[in-house]
Amino acid sequence: MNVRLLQISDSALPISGYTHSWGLEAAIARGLVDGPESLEQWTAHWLRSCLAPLEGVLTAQAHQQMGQGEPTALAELNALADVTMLPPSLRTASREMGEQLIALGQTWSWSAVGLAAFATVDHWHHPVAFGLLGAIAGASTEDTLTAYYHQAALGMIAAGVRAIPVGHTHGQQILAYLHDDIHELVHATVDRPLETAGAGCPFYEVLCDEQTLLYARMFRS
Amino acid sequence: MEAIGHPAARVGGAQIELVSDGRMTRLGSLYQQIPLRVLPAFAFDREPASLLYLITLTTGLMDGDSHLLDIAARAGTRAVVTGQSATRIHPTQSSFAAQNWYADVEDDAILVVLPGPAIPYAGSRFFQRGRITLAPTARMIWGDIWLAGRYNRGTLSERFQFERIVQDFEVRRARRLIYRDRFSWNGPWNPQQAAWSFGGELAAASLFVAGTLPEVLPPADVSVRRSLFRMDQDVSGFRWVGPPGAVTADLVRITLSIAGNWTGGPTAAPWLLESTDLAANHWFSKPAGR
Repeated sequence: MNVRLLQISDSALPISGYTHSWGLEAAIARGLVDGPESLEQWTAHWLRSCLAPLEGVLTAQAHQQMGQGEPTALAELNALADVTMLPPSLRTASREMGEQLIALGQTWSWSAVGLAAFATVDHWHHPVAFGLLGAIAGASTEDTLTAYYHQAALGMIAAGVRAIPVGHTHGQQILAYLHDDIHELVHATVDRPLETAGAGCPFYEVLCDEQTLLYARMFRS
Repeated sequence: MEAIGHPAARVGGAQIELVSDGRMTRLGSLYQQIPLRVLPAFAFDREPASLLYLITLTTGLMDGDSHLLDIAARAGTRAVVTGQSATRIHPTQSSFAAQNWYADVEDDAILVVLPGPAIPYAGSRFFQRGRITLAPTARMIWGDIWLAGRYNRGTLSERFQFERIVQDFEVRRARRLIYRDRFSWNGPWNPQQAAWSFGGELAAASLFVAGTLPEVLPPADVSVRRSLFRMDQDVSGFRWVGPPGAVTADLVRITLSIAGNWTGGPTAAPWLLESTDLAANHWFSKPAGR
């Protein structure tokens, strides 16, 4: 058991993840998600179609680049995320969470030295920061990716628990149902080349835009 | 350039140079290989841009077909490059069909590329690559429209029955990557996947814009959902979902309105759409009665 990986995956980590719903709030407002079953379907589609093809590939690539100790490669991953994440709400969320995660990691005894080699990287996206810290933690790429997908699914479900609302027991059941999906996605994305990183979800992106225009909202994305 | 695998596959291409003579944009050097053909650029009175049609002599993209289009928009040119109709992507047996686009846009040039709606038939595999290089003051608009397939044939309709669509589009300005649209859609899609991706509609579209957007854009058609995403200074992307005709019309109206604003200011008419020289029978004509 890698406790360092558990730490960076913790939903209580103060990197502002709890302030985001990644478009879910707009789906709830449109009546597309209204209970446990539709929340599970929404989260499964989001993991498979949006998160894994882009952020999953970036996480795995960042993990593998850490061994090279070359800041330039990680800076390029962050730059690629800048121009590939189209909705500003998602792009901003990813950057804020990434930079807060790195800032936290710089204060931890197990990661501060490892991160020092990458001090020249001027900004961070969450999947890149997570992949790098997973490598510094000594976790395998597969385990790091599993943890990334798990914390992402949990974040989405937690947003649903608060916004729909859904009971916490139902939320954990949904997470359990998604475990097989997460394992499949790890297998599908762990070795994908960087040039394939990207997700095309036009309706989801439109929802992310509509979320920012809701009259009243709980979440920043 | 070679065919990808199927013995009947056709390789076509065009290498196009657009030049400005100070008054109008016209073709400079041109190499074309069938089944692709390039019509001479149309230059209409009172229109700031020339219109260049790419013609495909076959009925669309077949298994193994590969098209290569290389456009050099020289300094000061203004042009709309478009296909004559939607691109039909036929079923594939052993390979895939591909379109490769390269564009080099020089300073003070404005290049609009609208390949036209893509119709992926059941069992089709399609790969589209775009590599765009912009000079520091170049402006460009690129629009893609993706339809569900042959969606309006009654019981024979094919909706989201393609096998795979891969988009690989990158734009660089002064060597810096400024925009990227990369996805792999693995079909066929069930209704749930189609609803997730297209929101229950039959068309989705994307638009890349390099250049300052007007302060006011034409309102969206009530039947479509349109979103604007600002990436960086002077770099923007749009997304649409909605009925095919409405999405197509809205994308074209936005595109040509932005271009008109660039050349004529806030009160200028859109490029081409108000022209009486343009027959109302091509894919981006304003539908009769509207």
